[in-house]
Amino acid sequence: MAFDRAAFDTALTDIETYLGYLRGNENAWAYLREIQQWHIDHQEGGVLTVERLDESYRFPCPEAQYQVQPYWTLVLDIYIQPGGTFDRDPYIKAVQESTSMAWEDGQAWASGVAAYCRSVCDPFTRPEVTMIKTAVEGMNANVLNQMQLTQVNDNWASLGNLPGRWTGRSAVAFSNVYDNYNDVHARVGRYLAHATIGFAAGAKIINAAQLGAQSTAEETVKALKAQLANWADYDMKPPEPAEFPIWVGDLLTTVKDAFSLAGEVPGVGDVVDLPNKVVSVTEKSKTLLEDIEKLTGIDFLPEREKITPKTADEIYTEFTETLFNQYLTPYTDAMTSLSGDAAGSYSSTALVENLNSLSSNEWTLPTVRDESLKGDNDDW
Amino acid sequence: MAEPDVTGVDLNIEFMFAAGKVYIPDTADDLYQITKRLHGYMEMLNQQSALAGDPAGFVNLLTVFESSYLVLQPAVTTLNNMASAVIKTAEDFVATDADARREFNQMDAQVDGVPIKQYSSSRTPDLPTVQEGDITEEGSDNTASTPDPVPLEDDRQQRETNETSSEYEHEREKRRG
Repeated sequence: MAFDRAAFDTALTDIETYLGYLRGNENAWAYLREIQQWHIDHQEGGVLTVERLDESYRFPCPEAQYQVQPYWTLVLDIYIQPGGTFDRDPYIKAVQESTSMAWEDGQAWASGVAAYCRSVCDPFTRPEVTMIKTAVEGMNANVLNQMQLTQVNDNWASLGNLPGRWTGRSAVAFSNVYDNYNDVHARVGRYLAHATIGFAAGAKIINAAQLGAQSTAEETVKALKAQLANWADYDMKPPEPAEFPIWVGDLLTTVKDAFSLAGEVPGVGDVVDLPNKVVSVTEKSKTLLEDIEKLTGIDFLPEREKITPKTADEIYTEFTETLFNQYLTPYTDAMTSLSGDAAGSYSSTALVENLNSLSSNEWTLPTVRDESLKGDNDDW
Repeated sequence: MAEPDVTGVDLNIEFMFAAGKVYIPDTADDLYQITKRLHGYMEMLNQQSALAGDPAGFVNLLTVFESSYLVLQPAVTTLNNMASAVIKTAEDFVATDADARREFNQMDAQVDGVPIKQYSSSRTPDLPTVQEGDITEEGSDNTASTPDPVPLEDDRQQRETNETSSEYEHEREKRRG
């Protein structure tokens, strides 16, 4: 499965909606229990009358299948004091109105959850894996392989020792470029190949984080629906939560895997101008990209754990903490260093350190002016 | 690009013309194509890095890309200048040296059947200019860097604030009272 931005967005919106319903149920039920308890605490020798809410009254959930009908599950033991009066209908109507208001508080509580979750995931859901993949494939085919194919040998323009015989203003620079061009060209190709594979590893990590978060979000929607159905079945706070454990993927394993596939970056000072190395490095990034293609279902990530939250607050907490701690944090850690802990694994920092250690004639070519290289006293 | 068929090169002046009209321009053209594509892919990756919030790992990789481009882009100009410079050098010798002039008059080298004196090599257009730091700074030309999310605790606090400040809660409190 590929990451589906629209489906992920819908899942987050649904989570906000259903968290609101669930929190609403909890608030409304808690309010009714408060009222119930208040009457129990205020008997004071009164005469008992047992009342229920109207049979037609339901918590005001807009989705009928999740509506809770407390008529069946809640009785109010109301004690009427001697000499007192009790007008049932206006009282029950007022209780029902307040219950509905308590339910609506749940919507207010959940408002903004989707936007927050989106912002937590933005660092890994905004990048487009297909674009990175296209760029990596393009680098491999149209830059690195071309650099390999256009690699020149020493004496690449068949000028032999002629440049050494000229003494014009640009003659030294000309000789320098003529002698070093093939080495610098190969070296740039080698560094670019190692940097390209880093993007391939990054794409694999982004892809895994995207799919992991999408799966966890979709499972959370199912868990919320199961809890809401449970409330509607019992028409009260359910004695047991619906068993719907939420899947959480193990991003760290994918991260380690990506860096081990990316392979070691040559250490500082290592010779990096061997032309055939470019091909061996581009092969590794192909393997990483093929890995992205192969991912299907939730098998792409090993399961880390399953969580079974019960209340809206627990589901909210588990879901946001999972996004933050199980996806965003390992993703950010991995992308900050782009390096594996294990010996022999990739390191973007080592690559830059290695680059910075090169001397200027290993990495740059002098400027040659467009002018005759013949010095005043040069003989033919 | 098909390799041009260069024949009849045996005089030094012919080596210079072959280098200036064929070998160096071809190398410059190859490098131009590579460098132009590198720029395109670098821009794509820079945008994706911005979307990812410019994590340090991607910025490291973009440093390598930018640094490579800053080597290759002027190298294309330098190679083209070298091609032109070696022709100017040959012509300079022909103008000032009798031996060189004699060789020039004997020249029979050809490129794909065209006498090398008449063979014109292709020139290359400009490549986009990149300054150091253009690629590695936050964001890209058209994409802002994705900000870090606010901490969990802030959003948790927001939930409570939403609930306690809702109109319904006020109304409910009133009824309780």
